[in-house]
Amino acid sequence: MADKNLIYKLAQLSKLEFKEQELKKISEDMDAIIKFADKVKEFDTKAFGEKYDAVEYGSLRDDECIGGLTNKEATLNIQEKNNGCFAVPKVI
Amino acid sequence: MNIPKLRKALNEHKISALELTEVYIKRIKKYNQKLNSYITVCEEEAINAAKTAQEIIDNGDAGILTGIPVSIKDNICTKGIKTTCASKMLCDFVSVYDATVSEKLKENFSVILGKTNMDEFGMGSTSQMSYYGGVKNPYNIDYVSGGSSGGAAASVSAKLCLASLGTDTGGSIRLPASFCGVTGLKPTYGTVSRYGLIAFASSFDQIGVCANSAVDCACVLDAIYGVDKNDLTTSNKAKGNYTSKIDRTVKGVKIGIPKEFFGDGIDDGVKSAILNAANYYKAMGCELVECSIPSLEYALGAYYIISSAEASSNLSRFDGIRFGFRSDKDTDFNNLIKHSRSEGFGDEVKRRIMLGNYVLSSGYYDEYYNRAQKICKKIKEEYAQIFKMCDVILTPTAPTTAYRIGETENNPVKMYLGDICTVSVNIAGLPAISTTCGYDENGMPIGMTLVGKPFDECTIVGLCDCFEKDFEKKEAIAYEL
Repeated sequence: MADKNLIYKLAQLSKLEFKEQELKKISEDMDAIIKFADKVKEFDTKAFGEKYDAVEYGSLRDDECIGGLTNKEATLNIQEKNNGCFAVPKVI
Repeated sequence: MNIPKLRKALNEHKISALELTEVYIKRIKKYNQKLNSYITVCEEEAINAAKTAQEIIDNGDAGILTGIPVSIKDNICTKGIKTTCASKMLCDFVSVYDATVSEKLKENFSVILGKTNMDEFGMGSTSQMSYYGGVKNPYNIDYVSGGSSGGAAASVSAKLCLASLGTDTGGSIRLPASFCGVTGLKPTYGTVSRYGLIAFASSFDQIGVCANSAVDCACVLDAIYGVDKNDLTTSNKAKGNYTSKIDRTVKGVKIGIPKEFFGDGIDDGVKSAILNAANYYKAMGCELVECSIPSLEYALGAYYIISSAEASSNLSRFDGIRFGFRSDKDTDFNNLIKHSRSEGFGDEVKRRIMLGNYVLSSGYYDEYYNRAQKICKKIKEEYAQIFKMCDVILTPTAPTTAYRIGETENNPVKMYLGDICTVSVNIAGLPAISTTCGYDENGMPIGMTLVGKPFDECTIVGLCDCFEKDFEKKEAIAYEL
């Protein structure tokens, strides 16, 4: 089973939280998934350089100003808004 | 009836766009509850679109898809219509703009019937991991539809639309197409714009088509391909005219048969159906060439590492603040984000985000992510080597036929292993088409895949069409009983 501290650390990085009763299952799952991913460690990388980027990009578009969303559109899908702004709990 | 024949019937006024749309809406109302292939049905919009399409047809301005009823996977944005990604996180999300592909379908005056069910955010191979419940297989409703575009494949298989846009990150069009007995085309990376597709793993994601035949897939691809300034991975190497090799001789085509796709873990029945298909092509004058992709054994690990790494980044935008589900439990800023994500995402999405953050974290990056990128390069090179000797490659689409519902529920790794035949194509960015080539002892479809050279969709479409014309297909009728 994956170490409890590892699960806490990953949950923190992932901005997720697991209830006490969920911890056993996610630890077991992560343990199995990491073992599954460990297969790549058998691959011999000697023939390769430091870095490789799999995606080839087309040409970049011109840096020009184009229309964006209106305030109404940008705030259409939020559950809590305040004067046309995204509402968040007080941080100060 | 395929799309070109229906096009003719519509143009000759043997059927109207509205009558055609009403037939499909009636079928959706009757069968969708059983199959769960649609999340949202757009009856009113579809009726209006059909009326507009009819005006275009009457004016003699119809394009290939004008008046043709289609569905769209629910991770592709459609202006004014919900796009949920089959997630609680986006259960109320209404896009304020169309994805480029949605816009192109509308420009063609096709009729959008609704948005199809899927695995949440495209993460899965069964379409059972949906906030809206799993998709049933039209050949047997006790079996999964495959995923993640399971709703797309099932909606085509059950004749709840004529064609459906799906997305394929690691096999998500081809696998459900195989399980549901339809044809699934994943184009070359860069052929179709992903602007407006809610991203899962950006270096693999590609939009494609599920339909009843290779011809229909090609007709739809012709309508949606092309360079888009909003997606800089789109390429001008995609030239269209994807039906150009239909009805041409396949004599002399060299078909590679990679031995790694026929080893342990592939069902005997599947192997035998694929080899029968290979023999069919041989009888048609094709040349079969034995070949090898030695690094295939590392493909699954590399795919899950990179796709999860990219997913962990792509899904970080869901914070409960700007859009999406918002938890009402907390007044603290960080806890609001944490609780919104924990309540809004399903288990598989959480697992992928956790794995993504694991392989990207300090101390593990080189061992996993960097190494996986090198495996991708190697696999791409191995495919390129084969294409020096062959025109296409023939493989199974999946190691087995559809699983019974619940079979992989508590075993994510078992589900991941089902992608062994598909992920390497996404890694190499190649085009591939899956079609039915047999049935197992329970009557469930077996899929074969033809993989093509980059941007050579025409050859695989032509070869696939040739096989389909001589193959006796069994209709899916289980859902009607």
